[in-house]
Amino acid sequence: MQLRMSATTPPKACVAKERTVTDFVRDELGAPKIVDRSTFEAKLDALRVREKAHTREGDAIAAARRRLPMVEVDSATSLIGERGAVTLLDAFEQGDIMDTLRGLA
Amino acid sequence: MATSKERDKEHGKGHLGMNTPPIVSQQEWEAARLQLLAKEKALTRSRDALAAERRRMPWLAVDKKYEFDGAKGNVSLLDLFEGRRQLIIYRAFFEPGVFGWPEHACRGCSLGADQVAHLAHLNSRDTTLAYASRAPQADIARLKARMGWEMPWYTITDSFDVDFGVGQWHGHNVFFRDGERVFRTYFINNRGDEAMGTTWSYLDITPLGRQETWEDSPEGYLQTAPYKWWNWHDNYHAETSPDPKWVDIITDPEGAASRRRDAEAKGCSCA
Repeated sequence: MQLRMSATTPPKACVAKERTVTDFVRDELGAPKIVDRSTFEAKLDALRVREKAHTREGDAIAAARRRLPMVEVDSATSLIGERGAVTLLDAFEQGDIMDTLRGLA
Repeated sequence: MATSKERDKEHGKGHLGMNTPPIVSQQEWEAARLQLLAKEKALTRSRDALAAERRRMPWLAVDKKYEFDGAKGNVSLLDLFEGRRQLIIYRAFFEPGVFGWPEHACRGCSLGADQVAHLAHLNSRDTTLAYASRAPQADIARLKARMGWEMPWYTITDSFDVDFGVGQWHGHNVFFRDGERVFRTYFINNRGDEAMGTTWSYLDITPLGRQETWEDSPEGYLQTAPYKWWNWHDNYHAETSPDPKWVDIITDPEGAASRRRDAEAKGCSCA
């Protein structure tokens, strides 16, 4: 895959040295720039603040999801599995998740 | 305003021993779900905006010649790209002194390895994923066989881990290759690592992104239409350009379905 080169690329006869994609990106697109380590780390830290806010927002939505009301459905709903007919209840595969959680607590 | 926990107390504990939400009608549930869906969509948009920012991150030139041991011997950082333009390296903890050694890698890293998607999709977007640890290759080969992991997994031999923020803690480093020049473009760790594993989460931390037309990327970046480049993981090599029938389905789903029905009515199974 190549970054798309614009029509402004000069004819080969005018080019002393073949320009790399990075040269193209830096000179003609203005971004991204090649920077030193401290500038890179500072940019990373700034973006990290937004990354963390996004993670917290995702956590808040998951918390709201745990508080959504529920609808009762027919646990005897039939499904066909690899070993034949099963119910929706069977598809849970295990007894009570609370028993498992209590075991871990 | 009552906190979530206070509101929870309004509902008595049922036989489950926890404050479960109210049981409601299908209609009420749908309304509550749509309210939450609005927030979920906003979160998706804000994730897209973050990925767009990452594509505008400056790059750090990597001038040091790092060396790794691979399944076929000594290799350079450049070799880890496998010829592709983008490289993501996850630093996994598997070495003497780490809980589980030598039978297992660190539990968190192992959980992460279990959720790595089929790499054919990532590879088809010019991106390579590799794992790197301090353990020798013989141990890595045994671990991969035992756990059913198939990603390339290298042995760190120098200061690569310390230099890229993963000497003491796990993390994903992202690199870009231009010919033989290598740049570090991003780094993610902690809770950021737990979201990794899907084709999309990996592409969203790369400098080129998903390379799809809807993305907000710097001008001139190669982009192709979403959906069209998708393929079955065992079919990317056989099919170098999108199958016209698939493109038809993606471009005009209703039309494609009606054309298929017409063809079936005529007793033709070729459409």
